[in-house]
Parts: sequence; structure tokens; C-alpha cells
Amino acid sequence: MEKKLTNKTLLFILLAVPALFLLTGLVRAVVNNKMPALAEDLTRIVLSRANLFTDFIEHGGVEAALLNVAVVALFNLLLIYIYKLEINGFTIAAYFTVIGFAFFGKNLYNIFSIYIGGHLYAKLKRIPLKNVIIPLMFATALAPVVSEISFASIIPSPLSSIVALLVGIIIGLIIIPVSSHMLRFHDGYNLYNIGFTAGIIGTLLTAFLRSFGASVEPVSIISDSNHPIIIWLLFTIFTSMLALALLINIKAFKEYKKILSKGGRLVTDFTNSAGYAATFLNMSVMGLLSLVYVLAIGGVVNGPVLAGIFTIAGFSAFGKHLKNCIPVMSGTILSALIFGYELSETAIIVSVLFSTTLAPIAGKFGLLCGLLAGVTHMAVVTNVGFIHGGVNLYNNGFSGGIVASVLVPIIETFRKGDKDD
Amino acid sequence: MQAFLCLLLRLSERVTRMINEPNKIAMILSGIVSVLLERGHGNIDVSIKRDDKSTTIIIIQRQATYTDTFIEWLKKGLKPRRKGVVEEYYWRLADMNFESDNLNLVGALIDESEVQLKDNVLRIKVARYIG
Repeated sequence: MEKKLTNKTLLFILLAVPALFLLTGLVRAVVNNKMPALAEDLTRIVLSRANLFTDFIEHGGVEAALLNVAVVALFNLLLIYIYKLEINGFTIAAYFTVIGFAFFGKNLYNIFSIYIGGHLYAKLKRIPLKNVIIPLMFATALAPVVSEISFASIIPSPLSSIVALLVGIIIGLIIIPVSSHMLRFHDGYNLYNIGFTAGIIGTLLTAFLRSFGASVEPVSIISDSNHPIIIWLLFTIFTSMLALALLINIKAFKEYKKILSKGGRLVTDFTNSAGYAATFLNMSVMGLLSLVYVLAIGGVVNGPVLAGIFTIAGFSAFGKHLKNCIPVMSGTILSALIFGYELSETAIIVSVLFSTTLAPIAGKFGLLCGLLAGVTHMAVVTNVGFIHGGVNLYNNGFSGGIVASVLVPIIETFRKGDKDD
Repeated sequence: MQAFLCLLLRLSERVTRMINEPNKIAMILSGIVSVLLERGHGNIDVSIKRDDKSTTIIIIQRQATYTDTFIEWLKKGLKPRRKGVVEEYYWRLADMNFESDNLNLVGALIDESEVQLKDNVLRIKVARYIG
């Protein structure tokens, strides 16, 4: 029997991750005598253009990156606490995604105006702000637009910051209705729906910026060496989740079967259908699997890869599990090998990890369709980044939306056993 | 300029609300009926009543021979749990019920529900409050 968890207990569980990062960041800064430079490193992160791929571990150092993650996570957790949001699969997915992307792309400066825009949207629609906070957490995918306008010398300073703030507000204002509408485009088979929406909006914004003569291109500032402390932190978080799952319900593995039986299409909240113990167990399994995969192929656990791992872990409360993720990941790996890509390259690792946005296709239509989705995703994702110039952090969500919207109707039309009457 | 923008947004919001509410009701109806059509057969009568406070949908299916397990599944899926977050964002997927989980989306759009199978007549009543 699963122990009842109050929202307060769940909040403390979520708090443990940024607390661990904050503590580790500060202790390391003291031990390595980096305390005097820490503020400067953090400022460098905040003042970066932050578009794909700006790895904050490389840009500001491990300590500053950990502090940035802690600050961004605590800010979002504070919103969850203040507005008394229910901590379910949707909330966990958004929270872990934000944590992951605070390693590359998101900081308090570039996400804040998007929340203001969302606040304005809620006011205008006369709905409680709590109804839109989670979609807004995902909407910070477009945070690099704010940084790009602020720091890319397109507009003279300080006017650039004002324009950036306004653009951030407009993004927050429009992204919820637009992304809700976009759900019909892929019928819930692309888990990163806001990534798809952000890709469309980012494409429009980049087109405008380029029309003004600005050069908006993806960059590659990536840490190319592993930091053992980061790997140990991940290992600690995911093994603790396993222990937590068993502590909540000793029979968590039995409930886990319920998760594996789900297709995973939006909206599949595992906390609702299988309970918190099985959900944490699934998050632990998926997080460890991702970490082991990256290390096994000789990859580097840097900012973008951390974003991938945390997003997989988060969405393991909201649709992803072993059975629906492995076929898609295998398809992506297979196509990477066919196209001659190096599996240990960060861009390829990230594509493999985030290809699980299409997990519902494998969950619903089976192994072969999952493989096909993975193969198609790899071809698309490596070619769409240029369109939005890297301002959409969820580039794989953009690609996933395109792939799902084309593949799903084809699969549904031709799958065995379906006939038109 | 700011006042004009506000006026424009308010107008668009009013239009959106006018369009969205009937659409949400249609989604609820479509969500339930698609399940019945997929698992059962025809013989479905639908009645929709609207007033200032709520919309009530009554679905009656005759010659219904469902198992107790299916009726329990229906009751669980249609358990009212109107959640602002889910309703605000995911309501457009509520009519896609070809997977058991997604009937929960219908549950997230309603405030009352009754499911009853008696003498091979299935009666489903759901209500959604306005505002």
C-alpha cells in the first residue's frame, strides 16, 4: 500500500534537487577558492546570448552553472508553492525540464519577462495565474530570444534590454493559446508540444531579427570534458529516487507494470494512474538509463546532455517509460550510424535523448513505428536548428512536432487491421 | 496605444470565450460518444441542456451489453476533477479517447457525472458549470 504524500512533502522532495546543487556549488567554490570569481562567472552566464548550444558549464564554470540551476529551480518552486499547484506528472515534467535547461540557456534574467507576459495573459483572460504557470515553465524555451535581443548588439543598449523585456512579455502573452492550438497538429504524439510551438514562434521572431540585418545563428560553446562531480550528483539524485520509491511503497515494482502498459500520449499522468512510488521508480530507471547510455558511448555529460537527461527523468512522470522510449532512441541511434555521425558528439547524444519526445508513437503503434519515428527524427532535427537560429531551446520538440504530424496520419491510415467501412 | 492594445485583447478574449465554451462541450460529448461507438454499437440518444449556470449532457445507449469492468472504467474516467491547468491547456485533446488514459481529460472538463447500466440501458449524465 502506498503511503499518502501531502503536497508539502512532495514540495520538499522537489526542493532536494536545487538544494543539492546549491550546496555542491558553494562548497566547491570554497574548496577550489573560486568564491571571489563566482559572482563574475554568474554574471557571464546571465549576460550570455544563451542560444543553442551555450553550455553554462563551459561558459561560467561548474560552480556558477550549479548556482544558476539552483536559482532558476528555486524560483519556479517558489511559484509552485505560492500558487499552491498540485504536484502531479505535469508539474514534475515542467520542473525537471526547467532544471535541465538551466544548465544551458535559461537564467533568471531571460525567463522572468516570459512569466510577466503569462501573468498579463491570465489577467486579461480573467483566469487564475496558477492555471498557466506550468505551461509558462515550458514556454521559457524561448528565453534565448530575450538574451539575443539584449546582448547581441542588434539594438543599442540600454534600449535593447527594454525591447527584449517587451518581446519576452509578448512571448508569455501569446504562447499558451498558440501552443494549446498546436496540440491538434500532432494529436498529442509529440510530448514537447511547447517545443514545437516555440519552434514556430522562434522562426517568426528570427525572421524579423534577420530582416533587420541581425545574424541569428546557432553557436557551439560546449564543455568537452566530463566533470566527475556532475556525474556523481546525477547518480545520487536517481538512486535516491529509487530509494524514495521503495520507501513510499515497497511494492513499487508491482505498480510499475501499470506504467509500462501505458502508451504515453498526452495527457498521461503516471502519478494519477500508478501512484508516486511507481512514478519515482520510473524516473529513476529512465534517468539512470540515460546517464549510463551517455557514459557507455564515451559522451560528455555537459549542459545540453544534462538538459536531455533531466527532461527524460521529468517526462517519466508524464508519458515516458522504457517500453516506449527504447524503440525511438534505437531508431535515432541507427540513423545516426547510417548517416555517419559520431554517437559521442554532444549534438547527436542530445538528439538521441530528446527523440523520446516521440515515445507515444512507439507506445501506441509498436516497436517498428517507434524505430521509424526515431530514424525520421534524426534526419529532421539535424536540419531545423538553422530555421529559428537556435533561439528555441527545445529544438527536438520542434522536430518532434513535424515528424509526428506527418508520421501519425500515415501510420493510422496504413496500419494492419484498420479498414474504412 | 496601450489602451487600444488592451481593448483589442479584451475583444479577442471575449470572442475566444464565446467560441471555446461550446467547443469544450462538443469535446466532452465527442469524447464519450467515440468510446461508446468504438466499444459498443449505435442506438445512442443525446440530449444537451444549457442554462446560465451549467450545461448538462445526457447520453442514453440502448441494448448496451457492457461488462462491469468497462462500466467501472467509465466511472473512473468520468470522475469529475475539473482542473484549471489541464483544462486551460489540453482541452483540445479531450475528444481523442482511443486510449484509456485520455478519458481522464473529459473528467478534467466536467463538474458532475453519473454512469448507470440498468436493464441493458446505459445512461451517462455529465454537467459542466459555467465560469
